[in-house]
Amino acid sequence: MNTPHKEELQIVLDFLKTCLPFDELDESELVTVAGQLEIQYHRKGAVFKQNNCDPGLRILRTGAAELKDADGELIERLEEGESFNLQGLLSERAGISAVLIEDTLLYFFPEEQYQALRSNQRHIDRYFHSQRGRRIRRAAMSLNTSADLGRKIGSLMSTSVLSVAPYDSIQHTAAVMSERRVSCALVMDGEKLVGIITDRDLRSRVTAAGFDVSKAIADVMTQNPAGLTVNDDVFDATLFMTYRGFHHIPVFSDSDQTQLVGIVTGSDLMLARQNEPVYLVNHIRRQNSIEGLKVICSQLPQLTQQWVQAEAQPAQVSRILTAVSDAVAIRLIDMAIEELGPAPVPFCWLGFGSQGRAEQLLGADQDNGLLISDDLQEEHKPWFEALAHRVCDGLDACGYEYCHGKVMATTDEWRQSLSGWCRTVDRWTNAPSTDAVMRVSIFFDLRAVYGDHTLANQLQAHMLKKARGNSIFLAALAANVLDTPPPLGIFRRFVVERNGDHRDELNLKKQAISSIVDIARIHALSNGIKAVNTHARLDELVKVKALTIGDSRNLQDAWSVIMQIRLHQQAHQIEVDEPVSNYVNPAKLSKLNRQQLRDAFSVVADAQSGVAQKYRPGMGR
Amino acid sequence: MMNDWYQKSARMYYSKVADPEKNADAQYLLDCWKSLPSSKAGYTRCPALVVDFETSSLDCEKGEIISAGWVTAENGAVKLATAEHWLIASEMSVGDSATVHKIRDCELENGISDREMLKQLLIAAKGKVLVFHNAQMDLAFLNKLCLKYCGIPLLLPYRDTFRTERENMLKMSEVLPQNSLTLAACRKRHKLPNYPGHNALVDAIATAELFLVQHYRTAA
Repeated sequence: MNTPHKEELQIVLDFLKTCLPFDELDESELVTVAGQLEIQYHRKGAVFKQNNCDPGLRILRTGAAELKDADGELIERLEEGESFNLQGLLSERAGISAVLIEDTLLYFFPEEQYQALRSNQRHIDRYFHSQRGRRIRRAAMSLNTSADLGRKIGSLMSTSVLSVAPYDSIQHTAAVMSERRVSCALVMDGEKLVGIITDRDLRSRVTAAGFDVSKAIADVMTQNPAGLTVNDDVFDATLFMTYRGFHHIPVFSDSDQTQLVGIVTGSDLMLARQNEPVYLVNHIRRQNSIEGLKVICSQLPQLTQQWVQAEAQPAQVSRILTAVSDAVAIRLIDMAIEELGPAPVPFCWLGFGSQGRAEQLLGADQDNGLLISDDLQEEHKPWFEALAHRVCDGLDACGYEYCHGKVMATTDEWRQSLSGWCRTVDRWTNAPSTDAVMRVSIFFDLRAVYGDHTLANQLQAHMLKKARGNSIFLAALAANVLDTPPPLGIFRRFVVERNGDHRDELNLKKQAISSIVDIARIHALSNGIKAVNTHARLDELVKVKALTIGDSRNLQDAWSVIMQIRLHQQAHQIEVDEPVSNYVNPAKLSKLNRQQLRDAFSVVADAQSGVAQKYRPGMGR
Repeated sequence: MMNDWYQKSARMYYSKVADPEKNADAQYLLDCWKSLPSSKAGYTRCPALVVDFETSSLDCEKGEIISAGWVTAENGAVKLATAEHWLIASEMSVGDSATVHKIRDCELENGISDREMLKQLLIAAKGKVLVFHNAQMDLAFLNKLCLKYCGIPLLLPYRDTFRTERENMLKMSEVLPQNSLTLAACRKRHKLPNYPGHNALVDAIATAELFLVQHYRTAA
């Protein structure tokens, strides 16, 4: 017998192909999915919640919806082509609902078939898994702070609690607290919590007040202290401490709120939030050995992955990673000075390239140099050489590999006095050889990381003076900019590596990010702009009317899109335990990403022809 | 529905006239008659089979059904698992294949007979109300097949999204603009996505979605 022609569900297939992650399924898998869908129509204002809808995935065909948490806070707004699985979200966090904000036609993928697809297709499963994780995290971030605020205090409380009886003496209580090295004790009458006593209470209510220490602890304790339950989160606990001024919170069972199960202290909460970048940088400052720094740096890939999953913007992530590498360098210099003694004359430790621009990602090698005051004498030189070696060796040990191009303070060329540096700049700008131009493009993105910032300012002022209006130098720099056209062929096809380890791949750093950085740099140098961060340069260029707002924004957006893809690629590489690289295979990107990447490359191509016209008029590309 | 009483009495008459001995296919239609959906809720809540035909002429005396598509709508959802699309081997072109369009040749190779299509349709329609956009034409073709292979007329309850739309619009204004009741125009009015036309299954799904919308609008 004839079978019905299921491939005629073409209208559904065509739509699914535009939806993440269904765009990754092949045609026959799509036909299967399409054949399992149900089309539903719901009016604006309809609410999907715990008990009123069948489990499964809902894909918006037309219309729009909002996911909201239990307090009605917006978690995410969904548009055509996006989807949600309410039961999946609810299993992790109660009270989430979806509200339609327009009349909506939706494709409903029933739970059984949806789960079957997920268990058969790992990449589909991963997509939905991470999507759910992201939404849950966002639901947890009520105050737009860190994901860790959503962590349940049950998972970080201390369960070994010191308890005393109400009739125990104050002296006895203080003695066991000292012995157990804890800052508080709970006063228990049998199984029942009747009070709490802390270090601070003993100080203010006993010692300062001259209270008799042989009296019962019940006389000075805080009676019937308020507490939280194991299901409250770090955010609740932080609020509790802030509002009430307590630093110790008794934690009760969720089912029986008189049953004490543990205690949470202010330092527990601090530890819970250690992934936050601020804590990370502080943590680096407290290290006293290269080993200690290494341990922290070894966590950077996992932390980066978490930040990416929490949807941090690429500019934020690169700024954080740069702040970390700055902190490591600063700590290494301090440690070196502790051993070498104070610097004989003022100096400045410089960061170049991506570190200079505060645009580092994972896997960055070191680009650094030393700028020393003109008071430098011959006998001072060994001190600076020793400093350079200690810091560069330390950076390498921490994962910032030695620079292949030898742009490091350990070389004589990159460790000079201010006037020595100025002469080098003069030589580079007066006779811009290919090599010189390459060095300039690293060197002109400089930033003072440690030491006397005025030295760096003077050097930069000299540099800008030399570059600005030097049309021969700018033309040489422009040739370098134009040397790497974006990897987009005719018909907007990607031009990928033909062979080697990276066959069919693009290098997003070399072939895309560098081009945008180069374009921003040449315009900045020719307009005397001091900023080195690419976004800052592009902003400044608008102010001096060297670029239109449109061109500037396009380049910034292109930078963000490419960095985002690069960052997600790196997060993926960390997840599957591959070495982090800047290569990406465009065929493996989502359709949306491919489209964005093409658009970004077109922007770069346009901006490059702008550079050609301005700095190399009549010279071709 | 207006014609309920007529359909009911006609079915009583034709159940006696029907002769499954002579027309074996009559049994499929009689099965449908035996398990009619309840008309109490005006057929909006009972299961529906949404049907569309592509025909070689607008006149059932001159042309025939080239392809048929249908899908079930039930409990406010169009179940794509039930979607079927059949190409029909045209009788007229059998002895005349030289003049037939290329596409028609392919259809001939892959198509089923109109008799088989009718049988499949009646099996799918059991216990359901039929839904068409502009029912009169499709019903005329369908009736012709029923009389030919079952010896009795269709006489199944149906809904017409075209008529529902016209009634709804006439409540708002006296005059209807030209072409405002085509399937595409109705869908556009309700902000449904734009589908390519002239494929029986696509049109059946498109009609089914319109049916859902009309149902919700009336409910609200």
